[in-house]
Amino acid sequence: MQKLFPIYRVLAYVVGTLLILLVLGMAMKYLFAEGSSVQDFGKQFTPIVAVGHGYIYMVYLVVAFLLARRERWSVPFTVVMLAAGLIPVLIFWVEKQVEHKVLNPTTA
Amino acid sequence: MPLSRALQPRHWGFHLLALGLLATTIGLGVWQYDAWSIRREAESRDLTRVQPIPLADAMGPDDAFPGNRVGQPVTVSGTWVPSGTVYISGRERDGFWAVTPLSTPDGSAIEVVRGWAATRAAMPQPPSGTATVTGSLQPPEGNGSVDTDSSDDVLPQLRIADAIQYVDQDLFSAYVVMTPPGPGLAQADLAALPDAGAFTALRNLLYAFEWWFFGCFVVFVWWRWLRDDVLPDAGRQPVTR
Repeated sequence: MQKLFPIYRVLAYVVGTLLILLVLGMAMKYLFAEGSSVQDFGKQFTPIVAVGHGYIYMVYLVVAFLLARRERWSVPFTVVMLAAGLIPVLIFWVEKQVEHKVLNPTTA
Repeated sequence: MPLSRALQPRHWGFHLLALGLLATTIGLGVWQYDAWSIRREAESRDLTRVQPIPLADAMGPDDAFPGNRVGQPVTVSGTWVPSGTVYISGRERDGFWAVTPLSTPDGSAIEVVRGWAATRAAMPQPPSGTATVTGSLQPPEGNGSVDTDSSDDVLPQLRIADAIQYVDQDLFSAYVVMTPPGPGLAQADLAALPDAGAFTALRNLLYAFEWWFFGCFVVFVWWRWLRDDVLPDAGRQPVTR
C-alpha cells in the first residue's frame, strides 16, 4: 500500500495527457473542414484516445479512492480528486495538491 | 446494533445517492450494449445488400459452402426444374417456402427459394424455362428436424440430402433466396446472416463494460463508507484532515 502514491502519480499524468490529446482530437474532428486530412485524422484518433482514457480512468478512480481513504482526506477533496480525471488540465494541479498532502500529512 | 445505525434517517441521502448512481451506470451500460448489438445487426444486413456476384465466383458445384459467403448476393442463370419443386414448412409465421432447383449449364442444380406463402394451396405453379435469378447465398440447413411424411413434397428443412431425392442431378451445397421473390410469392427471410466484423461497434461494447465497472465502483465506495464511517461508532465523527 506504500506504493499507492507513486502509482497514483503515474496514472494522474497518463489520464491528464490522454485527456489533453482527446481535447486536441475533438478540436481536429469538429473545428476543421469535413474531409480535410486533419479532420480525418481527428476522426480516427479521437475514439481510440477516448476508450484509452476511459479505461485508464477506471484504474485511476480506484487508486485515487484508496489513497484518499488511506490518508483520510475529506469527502470534498476526494470528490475533486476523482473528478479531476474528467476535466482537462485540472488533474495536474490536483496531483500537486496530493503530493503536498502526502509529504506533509500534518499540515494542509 | 450496526444495521439500525446504517438505516438512521441522516444516512438516507447517501443510500439514495448510491442507489441512483448505481441505477444510472447500469442503465447507461445497457444503452451502450444495445447500441453495440443494433449496429452489428445493421452491418450484417448491409453485407447482404452489396453488389451481386456470379454464383461461380462464390462457389463451385462440388465445393463445401464457403463460410465467408453467408448472405452474399449472387446471380445465377439456368433452366428451372419444376418437377424438383419442394415446399419447406414452418417458415416465418407458419407458412411455406417454395423451392425450385435451377439447373446450371455445367449440369448441377442449385435450390432457389422463390418466396414465401401462408398456405400450400396459395402457391403459384412452379416456373419452367430458362431464367437468371438474383438472391442471397445461404448455407444448407440441417437442424435435425425429421420429415414425418416422405411421400409428399413438403420438407421440414432445406437439407440438400433431402432435396436431392426430388431431382436426378447433383445439387450445390447451398441455396439461394430470390430477391425480389418470384411472382405470386412474398419475400422469404434469410435464415443465416453474415457475421459483422469483430471490431464493429467495439467502442460501444467497451463503454458498456466501463459503465458497469463504474456501477461496481459505486457499490465499493458505498461499502467502504458504511464500514469506515457508519458502522464502527456512530457517536465519533471520522477524522478528516
